[in-house]
Amino acid sequence: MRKIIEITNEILLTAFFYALFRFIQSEYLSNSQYNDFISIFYIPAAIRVFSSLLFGYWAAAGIALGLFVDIVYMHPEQFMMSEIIFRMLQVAISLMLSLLIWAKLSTKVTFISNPVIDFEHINAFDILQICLIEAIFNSLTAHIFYIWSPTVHLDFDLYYFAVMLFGDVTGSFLLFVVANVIFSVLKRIPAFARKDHDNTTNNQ
Amino acid sequence: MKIGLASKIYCLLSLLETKHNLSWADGLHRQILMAVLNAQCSGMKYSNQEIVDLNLTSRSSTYRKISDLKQLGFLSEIWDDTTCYLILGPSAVGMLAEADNTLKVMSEKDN
Repeated sequence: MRKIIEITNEILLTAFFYALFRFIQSEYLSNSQYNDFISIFYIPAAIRVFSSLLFGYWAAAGIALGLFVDIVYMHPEQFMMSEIIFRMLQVAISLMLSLLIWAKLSTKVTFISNPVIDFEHINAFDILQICLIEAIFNSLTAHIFYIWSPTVHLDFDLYYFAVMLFGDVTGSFLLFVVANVIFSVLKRIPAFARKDHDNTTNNQ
Repeated sequence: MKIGLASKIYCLLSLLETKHNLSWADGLHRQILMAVLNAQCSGMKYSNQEIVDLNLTSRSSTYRKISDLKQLGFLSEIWDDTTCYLILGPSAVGMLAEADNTLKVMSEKDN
């Protein structure tokens, strides 16, 4: 029962952040949009990568749910129900495939069916690797969706594919770098240092 | 080993700093001072050039930090022929003595 609650929380948390980041992307980062579907700096890609690192394959359900909330309620798109389902499956499958491939390739991941990541030993290059894999699979599957979708009906264009790939990599990896910088700066704010000092005093 | 969500997030957010030795402007003074202190503890002395060779940051930035530390009394210069060596200055020595006394008091209390 506890495990079910834990997984539900993970899915809801991922869905919330994915919907939130899609909202931020469409409301405040519209300058980076190349067209309606492709962006050169796509920050929700960061949530896809980091939720998969934190929650494994269950993150796929959260991402699909977050996407559903966004395209149905927050920014309704003129998709048919079959297209919405296909789109949700597309993001979920791309995330699961990228995690699976990364688990196969990386030496810092054990078990493929339920990947256990060695957080103590991963470095920025491992993060870049998963960002790249995720970007490749997402761009590929998204293009299959756009080509199939009767509403979008996009003709395959290598240039669009490259732009989308670039947008996913920059969105996820740059956000990772920015989050690291902000965290390092926050750690140096006296309030944090005081907290450590208090703990030390209490221990004494 | 299974680690919690908070630990995973902490690992990811401090990854650049811990794994890639990402130095920040406010930490460079401390790093230079630590290098001088460690050298002095092991009976060595660093020259300005040797501090630059540690590649803590760019050459000009290292010289600026050394100059700041000298101004605040944390570093002093001693000359050996034509080479200028850096040693701990009166402020740093004072702070170390103060820390030493505090540690002595604490250890006496424990006993």
